[in-house]
Amino acid sequence: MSAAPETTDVTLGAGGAVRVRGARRTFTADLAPVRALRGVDLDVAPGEFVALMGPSGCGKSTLLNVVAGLDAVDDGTVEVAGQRIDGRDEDWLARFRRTHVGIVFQFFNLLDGVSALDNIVLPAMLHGLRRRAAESRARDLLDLLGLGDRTEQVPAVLSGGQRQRLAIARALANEPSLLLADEPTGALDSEGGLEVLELFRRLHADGQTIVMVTHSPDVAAGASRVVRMRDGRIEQD
Amino acid sequence: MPPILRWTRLELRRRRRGLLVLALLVALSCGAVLTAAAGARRGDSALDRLLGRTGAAHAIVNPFGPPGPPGSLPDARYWERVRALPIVEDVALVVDGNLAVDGLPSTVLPPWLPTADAGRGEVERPVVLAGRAADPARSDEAVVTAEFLRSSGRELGDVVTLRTYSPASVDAQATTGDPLPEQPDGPAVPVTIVGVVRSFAVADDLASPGLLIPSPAFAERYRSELVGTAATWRAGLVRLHDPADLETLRREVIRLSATGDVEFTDQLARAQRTSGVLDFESACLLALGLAAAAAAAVLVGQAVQRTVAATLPDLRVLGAAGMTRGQAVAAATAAPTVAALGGALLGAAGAAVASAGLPFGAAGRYEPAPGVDVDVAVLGGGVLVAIALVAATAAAAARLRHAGTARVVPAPAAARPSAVARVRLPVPAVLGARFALEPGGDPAGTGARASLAGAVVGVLGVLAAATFAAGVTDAVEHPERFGTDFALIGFFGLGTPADPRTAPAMLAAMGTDPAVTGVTAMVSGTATAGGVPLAVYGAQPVSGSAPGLVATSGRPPAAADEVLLGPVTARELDAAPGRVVELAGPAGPARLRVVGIGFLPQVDNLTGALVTAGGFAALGLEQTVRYSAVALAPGDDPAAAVPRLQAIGATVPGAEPIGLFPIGPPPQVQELATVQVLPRVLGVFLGVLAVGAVGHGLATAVRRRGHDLAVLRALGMSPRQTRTAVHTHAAVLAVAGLAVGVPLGIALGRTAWRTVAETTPIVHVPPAVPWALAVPAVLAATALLAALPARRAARLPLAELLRREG
Repeated sequence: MSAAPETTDVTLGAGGAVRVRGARRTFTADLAPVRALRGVDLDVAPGEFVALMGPSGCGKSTLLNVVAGLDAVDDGTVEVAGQRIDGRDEDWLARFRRTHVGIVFQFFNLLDGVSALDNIVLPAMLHGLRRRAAESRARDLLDLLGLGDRTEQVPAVLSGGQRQRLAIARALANEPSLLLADEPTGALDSEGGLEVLELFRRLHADGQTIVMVTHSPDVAAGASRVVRMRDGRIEQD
Repeated sequence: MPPILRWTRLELRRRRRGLLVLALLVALSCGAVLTAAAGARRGDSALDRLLGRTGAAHAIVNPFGPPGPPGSLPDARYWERVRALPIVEDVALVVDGNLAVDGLPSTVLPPWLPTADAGRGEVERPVVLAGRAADPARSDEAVVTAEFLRSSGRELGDVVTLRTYSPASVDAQATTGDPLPEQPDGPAVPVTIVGVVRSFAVADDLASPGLLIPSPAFAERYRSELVGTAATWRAGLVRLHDPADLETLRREVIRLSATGDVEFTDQLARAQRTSGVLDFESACLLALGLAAAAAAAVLVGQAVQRTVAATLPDLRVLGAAGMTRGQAVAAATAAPTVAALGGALLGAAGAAVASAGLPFGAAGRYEPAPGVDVDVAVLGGGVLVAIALVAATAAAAARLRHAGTARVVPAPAAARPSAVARVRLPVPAVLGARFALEPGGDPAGTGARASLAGAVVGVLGVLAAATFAAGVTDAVEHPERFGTDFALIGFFGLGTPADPRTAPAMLAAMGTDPAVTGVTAMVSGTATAGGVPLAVYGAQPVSGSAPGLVATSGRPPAAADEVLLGPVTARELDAAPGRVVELAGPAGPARLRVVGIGFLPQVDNLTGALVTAGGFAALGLEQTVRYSAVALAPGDDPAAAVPRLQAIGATVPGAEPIGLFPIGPPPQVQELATVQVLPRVLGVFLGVLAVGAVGHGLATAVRRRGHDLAVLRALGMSPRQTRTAVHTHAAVLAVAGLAVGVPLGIALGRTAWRTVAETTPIVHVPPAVPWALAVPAVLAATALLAALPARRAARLPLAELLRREG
């Protein structure tokens, strides 16, 4: 594993949005170790919309988690927004995610029992915004994503497409430099999937850097670049 | 049915470990609950069973008759007349003898020795716990109580030597008041211990070394050595056809006596007091059982739900193959029910074994059939209830969970967002408060509610038990709460006509001793209230603190027209402070205002009336001082003070003999002391229960809310903030527990203690507990309990949790 950088300051650095070099990740399993990443190199430039494609178990989600700081590489380096994030402790990574990374999950991962508004307010407050400012930001985002009339409703009463839009709004709450999406249309019907894809295109058009994992060639077609993975390696870029 | 049976067999085989754990949990729970319930029932009925089996006397009648000529029995005709009363079932005569035992304290001898007459009838026939009853024809045999063997180290078949006084010495003491010789000067009689017995009259007191009861033939053979040749001090244990006739008996035995001077000991009242203690013990034990049942309900309920949840996925697969919902529920219920059957039977067997050690405390001293006792009703009923509860829980869980996946449940149209989330607090604090107060992923909200309930009940229960225990401890440590605020009781004029002027002078002289803090002279006589004889005491403070005048409510009398009534008398006369009662003495009736309810300076300190010396004179009762109460400075040895004070009294011109006796703690103290441990055990049990409930709640909250925590971690919540959220959860539980539990616990404990104080009775002093200590203790305990879940929460496998379908 590479040595961690000395600094723990979270500041935007120069260079690409994502830079991964020689990333390896192995999971222990009952029968044999699973080598999810076998030396992955990946560069994503600011403003790019990259679709990561590949068969199940090829390491797409693991790579995404590594870039998000939700998982750690066994070997190699990971740089996001100019910051080395490999080897960092959990507190540092948490602060880093607040500032630089927004994540959209296949199964939404919204907070049940909390209103749509508060689902966005809470991460904004974690970022350091005061409640009033966080609410203002959340309302703006909900309006932007067509959920302005759903602010007080809990996720359970929203449709799949609405839930994913809410999850995207939450991911954008702290104006991240990097938006990561793991199968964002995987749990949606075709109409919902198109809604989300259209939203990603709009965000990309506004300059948002996006890395999206998907199985679907149709969804991947919306990206500016498609990276294919197989057996823990980048097969085609 | 066959598919369900087949499925059950499969389940029992493949899930044997889980079902074994469930069975053991049921066994443990059933064992604890049934032991407590059966013990409480047995303890509660112990005295009644003993009284019934032994033909217990309802009263002890001791007439003070004029001594007859040596060798005569002037009271024989008296007892014939008493026995002839239609209300009397039978009388057993006993004697109060002078006796000593080699190598043992004289307190091992009972106050009354059975005579041949006592061995004749069916009154006070002790149950034989071991060995056999003493042969009524052999004077060299004796029986003992169980405590005697324990305290003396003797065994059945051992021989002890009884030492008697010569008839001349006993006669001299009776007629001239000469003290008995220091060493017994009569025959030494070896007696063999042939059995262990128990009855209400010879029950072991808590602090007593047990009793050794010679055969009735001993009293007959050594009558003159025991009571002298005059043989006048013979008492009767009287059993009535109907205990309700006790007051009639009191009137009749006084009417039949030559002098009207009869000591009448109400054994029924004593039994009622004892019964109250046993009720209290049983209630404590039952409360312990209920607390155990509550804990068991939570623990076993969760285990049953887990078992059902584990089997349902397979049953859903079978559903696709045609198994109906009803069959699935039955199949899911069957295995836990079988486990419950095994566990409940094991628990019942454990309870039966544990019954050998029950009942404990006071009830253990009145149990007529100690040893293993299989209470079929309690154990059988308990087993059935346990099985039914487990089956019902399993069926309900199966129905709920099976239904939850079988149909599409529409999203609630009016789902309400979290109220806590709107509070303007930092995110970890909001999160922790939500964990504590909202159901989260548990639709029934049982986890959050159980934790909150555990915290509140824990604090409430511990505080209530501690408050109650403080009351018990205070009462046990302060005999004055029971009216015994004096260390010595003095008797004048024993066997001789006393000079009414001498005793006050002697008491005044004794009051000058530096260790004496107070002396009260007492006169006593018999008046009537509503035609019923009533012991009346006149109190004349001589010096110092005026001991012997203790009121549980109101105050002692200060004027001639005021009276303090004993609690039993007050109840009988339906009198309370402020009311007027009419007492009639030789001088005629006198109307006295009740100024207090309290204790009387006598062994039976609950019955009678206390007036001032002026009030006593107004009733026309004899003014001779017969009693005195002497209080000593704390720490002064009463036994050592006796000869010193007797010597001081003897310096008064014309001094007469005074019998000064250290007065032990009243029996109620001993009775309360036996149950002192119960509220503490209950408190510890509830504390452990609360720790379990809160600890389990914190752990399951982290497990159930793991997804929410992982989401927030992905959004930037740091591990430290995650730990803070869990600690906030714990703190909210602690604050809720303290806010509700402390005031309610103290109120409950005080109410319970006041109830006990009023029924015992005791001078009620509101118990104080250092409740403020509960605040740091509870906060520290919950913080400690939260440490591990917080650590787990901070180390959740984020990627894995976030990948799951939420």
